[in-house]
Amino acid sequence: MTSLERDSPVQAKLGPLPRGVFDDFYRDNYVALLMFATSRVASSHDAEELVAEAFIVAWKRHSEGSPPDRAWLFGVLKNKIRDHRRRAHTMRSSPVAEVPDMPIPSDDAAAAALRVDVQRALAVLTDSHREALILTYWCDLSTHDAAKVVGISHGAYRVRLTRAKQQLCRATQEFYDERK
Amino acid sequence: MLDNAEELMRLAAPRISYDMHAEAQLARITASATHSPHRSPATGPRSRAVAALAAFVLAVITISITTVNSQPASATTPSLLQPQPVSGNTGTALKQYASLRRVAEDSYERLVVHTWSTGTLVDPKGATISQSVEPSVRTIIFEPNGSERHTTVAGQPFPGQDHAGLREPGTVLLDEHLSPEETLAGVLREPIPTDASNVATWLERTLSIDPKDANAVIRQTTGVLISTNVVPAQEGALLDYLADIPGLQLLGTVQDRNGREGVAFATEPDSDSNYQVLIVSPDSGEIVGTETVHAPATRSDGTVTYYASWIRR
Repeated sequence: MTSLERDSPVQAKLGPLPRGVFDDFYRDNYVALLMFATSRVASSHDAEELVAEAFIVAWKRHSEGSPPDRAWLFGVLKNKIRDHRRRAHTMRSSPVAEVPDMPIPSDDAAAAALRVDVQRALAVLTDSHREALILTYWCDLSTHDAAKVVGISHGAYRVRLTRAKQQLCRATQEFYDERK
Repeated sequence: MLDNAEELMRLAAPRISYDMHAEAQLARITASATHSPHRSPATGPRSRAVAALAAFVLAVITISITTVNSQPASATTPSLLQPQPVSGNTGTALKQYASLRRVAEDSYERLVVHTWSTGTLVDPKGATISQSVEPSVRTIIFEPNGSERHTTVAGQPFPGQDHAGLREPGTVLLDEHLSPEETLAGVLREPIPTDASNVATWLERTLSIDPKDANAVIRQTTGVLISTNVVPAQEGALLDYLADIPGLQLLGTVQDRNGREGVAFATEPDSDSNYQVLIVSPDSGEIVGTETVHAPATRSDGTVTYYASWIRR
């Protein structure tokens, strides 16, 4: 068990919480967690399973009376993804392999092409930069919560995010120019 | 746009939405979370058995999140059971049936479960995902080595039900063989206790429910009763336990969905105006069925939204 999976010592044990609280928490966070998992493992099936496993941990915690905590849950998922990748030996040497297989809607050709540029740009970023962008923009975590998930200070996270944004724009521009 | 990282990220985001699959996962998690690492329904080694329990749970959940204006019309649901009042105390009656059950014949090899359910599944934004009206008959054959054969066929519509869109009765919907570890009994960390004093702990640890919540107890244990081979001592313990928790009321004698005489007990409606009915055989003390009734006004004006009525052989 990691520190993130451990209950905070200051967190009060309130006894069983209403089932509806957990249901609402699940429905509010499912998509964001699946976004995160999908971006970190190659198989969407595995991503769904890891999200389910994280929610199982949350359900047990809920059953013990601990209120839901979004940042904590992302931390649990992050640990499960790490363990999964260790088990499956899916740590890829090429960062391109980190990019999930995302369907490209046939809405607008230019937008679709640009989407590919962004995905390629994401693939060449460092893992920590990519993670910061995904947590903030795909999972809609606040910078405070994202910093907790990543395990760094809020200030350090903001610096990381700023650099990640710069890197993403620069890399996207390069792929865009290359294509043109 | 190329200098706006936020817009670029939005553009590249995976298209993921909350769907019925996600809702089904929620049912599985809350039904089986204390047992084992979760596997998805498609390929997981324990998934099919978990799904058997979750299928029931999901049916109930669909009702609990049904919007008020989408509750089924009474003309399309089975008639309410019509209890004939009897005198007696709820707790005393349940304890008598528990005693009767404990001395019953020990085993059966085949469980035939008649179920019917209706529900409108809505997503968190209120959009309808699905509606269902499903009579089915599931037969489980328990084999000596612990494996099980599950066969589900389309059931006979109840009297007055619109047949349109329903499959021909007898149509095989599912036929599969489960190895011992794939069965629900294999998935459950612990079987139902044979001592009533251990039932509360079992409910908490294995089904993750509040053991004093009579609605939850009946709703969730139904999933176990219709999917596992329950010995008399276990069912006796369950009845003994139910005798001592608040919220159950002796309704009276009924004729159940398989035409048998039964004694019905009901819970108080929960926060979603659903109450549970437990039907016990007065001859053997055996639990032979449960029902869920949606009753926003009075108990007698309720609408049956789920029933399971089973025969053990």
